[in-house]
Amino acid sequence: MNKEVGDPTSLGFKVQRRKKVKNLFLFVGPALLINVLIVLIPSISTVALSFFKWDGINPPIFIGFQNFKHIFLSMDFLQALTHNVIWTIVFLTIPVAMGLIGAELLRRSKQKFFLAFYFFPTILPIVVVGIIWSKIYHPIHGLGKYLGIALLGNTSTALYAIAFANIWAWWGFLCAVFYSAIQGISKDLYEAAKLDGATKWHEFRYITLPGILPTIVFMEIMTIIWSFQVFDWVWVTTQGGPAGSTELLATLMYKKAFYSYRVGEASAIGTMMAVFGMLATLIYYYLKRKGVEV
Amino acid sequence: MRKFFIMMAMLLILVTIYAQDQIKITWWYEEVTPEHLNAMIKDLVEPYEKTHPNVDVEITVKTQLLEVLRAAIVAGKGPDIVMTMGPAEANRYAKAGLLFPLDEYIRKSGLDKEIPSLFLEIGKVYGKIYSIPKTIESMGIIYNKTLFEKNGWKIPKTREEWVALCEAIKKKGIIPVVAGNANWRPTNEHFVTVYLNHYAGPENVYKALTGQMSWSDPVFVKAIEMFKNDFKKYWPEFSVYTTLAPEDFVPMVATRQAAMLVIGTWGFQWVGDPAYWPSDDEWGWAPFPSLRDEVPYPIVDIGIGTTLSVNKSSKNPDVAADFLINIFTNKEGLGKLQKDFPGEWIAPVNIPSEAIPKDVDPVFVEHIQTQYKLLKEGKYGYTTWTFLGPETWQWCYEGIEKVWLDEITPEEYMKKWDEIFKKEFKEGIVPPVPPRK
Repeated sequence: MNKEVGDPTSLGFKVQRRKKVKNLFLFVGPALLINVLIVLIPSISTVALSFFKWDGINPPIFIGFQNFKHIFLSMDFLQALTHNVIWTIVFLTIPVAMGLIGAELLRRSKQKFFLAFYFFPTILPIVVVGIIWSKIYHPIHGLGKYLGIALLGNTSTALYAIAFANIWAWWGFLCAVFYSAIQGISKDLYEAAKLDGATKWHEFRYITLPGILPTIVFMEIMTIIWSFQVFDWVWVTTQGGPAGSTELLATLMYKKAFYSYRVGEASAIGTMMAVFGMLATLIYYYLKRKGVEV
Repeated sequence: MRKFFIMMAMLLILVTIYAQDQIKITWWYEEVTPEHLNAMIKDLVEPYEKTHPNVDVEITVKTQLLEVLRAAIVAGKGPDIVMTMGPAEANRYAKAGLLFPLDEYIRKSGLDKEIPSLFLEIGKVYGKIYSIPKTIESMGIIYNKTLFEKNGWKIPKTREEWVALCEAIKKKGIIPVVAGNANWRPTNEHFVTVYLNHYAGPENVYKALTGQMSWSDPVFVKAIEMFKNDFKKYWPEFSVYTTLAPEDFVPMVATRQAAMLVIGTWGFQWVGDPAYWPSDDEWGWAPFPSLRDEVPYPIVDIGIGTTLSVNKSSKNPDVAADFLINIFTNKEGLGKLQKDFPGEWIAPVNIPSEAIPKDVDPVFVEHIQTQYKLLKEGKYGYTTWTFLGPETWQWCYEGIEKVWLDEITPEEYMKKWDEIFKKEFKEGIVPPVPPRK
């Protein structure tokens, strides 16, 4: 029986499809291979190792859920988790607000030069920026001398001082993302609103915000994921001190693996970090399924 | 054209043959200044390469050496010469079969008769020696000698003299002891080491390290209580202390903003550098005072900064071992390093005075001679970074901050110390402590 071209059951269609898939793999293959080698395999290994007692040198010994039990009963882990939650709350609010305001002002002013200016700190290496901020905060040679307080040495200010430095380097990225999203909103809406007597606040509240809501939600979800992965900012400035007041899950994991020789426990912490990140992703998909515009 | 290709082919063959005859020995070193790296190349590597023209020794500086080295060695790779942060780390690798035994080479070279047995015993695993200490260090006081002479201050030998001195310095508006842990968080343990040894006494520390005594014994708790009070009174305020690095606090002593450093041998690499000591004031060194009548004066708290071993995966273990032994038998090179890289190359061998350049800091020479003399006389204590397992070590320097901030009491600190130590002792992770003389 002759089958028509375009018929999915026809031989010609199947051959075309196989060719398309082959071409697809040729394009995607290299990146996929790299991802499998440096992301998937280490991720699976980490989850697997979290069920073992391993010092990183001798053969691992299977111990089931002991590592998870140990970390959840450990004050160090709970303290680090608390710090990560605080960090997440700070980054879900302040830089996002700054990015939105910055993007809206850029839309109105049409001065694109400022976008490059705001974005510039994002491209600087974190190690370099962290060291510079440590010097800025220095109690003898820096601002600390005039403020009368060693911000990075004080247990109640150290975490926020590091977060402030991170926000300085980060908000420009959010500004750029939101500004980019705003370009997708029809200018006619703003014109029509103006003609109807809308104020600048009304434009922002009723046109800009709803127009870029999917982008805002997406960046909030990514912020949650990234907030649980923060390591370099703290490691360069305080290494979790003073007295554990800036300890985050990632720095605790690092110390467990390389200083305490408890790679199994470190893997358990890493697994939990991934779980928290996945929870954020699940929230995103839940909202999507509920029909919320994300 | 044909002749050209034949010549190129012959050249390639010659280079390949030459390359195969050349043996390359690699050595990963911790972060170091270019000047100090060049000093090691000049004083240790080049003399060896001159007498062994078929060997190229390559020193590579690695940031985060501890982490990078472990990943490489466990993967069966890594450098030929393995430099670790101390016997605790080296012994772990040895137990896992990752290091090459050095007994035969040590015996052949006569180093077994020269290196004090304490330093060979601590690198023994299952009866074989796998590491040799690269540098012997000890804690003490480096002070502004000019400032002391100007004010008529004397070096303290007892607890009472120590307190009187610190109070007198404080009255002048000068910080008695300046320090900071911004660059190296474990700096805290340097002072814990000093107070444990100079209050509780080396005998008690030895007993605790060998499991004969509990770390939660009142004598250790009182040592920490004393240290907590002294830290609050005589060290910089904690929030400032955690932000200071050597480039901040060493100049403070030179410029009389502070009077003393309670510091290890490595401090000499800074005081001799005008960038760290930007004044004409002289510096002096002295042992830390005894903090209890029952503890003798003077004693030095001995530590091993780093150890050297040979990687089991080395393609040329014999040559690597030969070079490693040569480091310790090259007395001329070691002598020169006392000037070119002071404080980091006090190898546990006898360096003849004629090998040491005349312009080496005499205070530094006095320090290493005193250190060696006290060690030989058995008047030494134990540093925490050399003789503790990794988790006890970590609690030692992290937990003390909670004591300073009154988050936990000295009792709670030493109780947890004891718990972690007992666990590691049972697991066989604590480095072996040879019997005291």
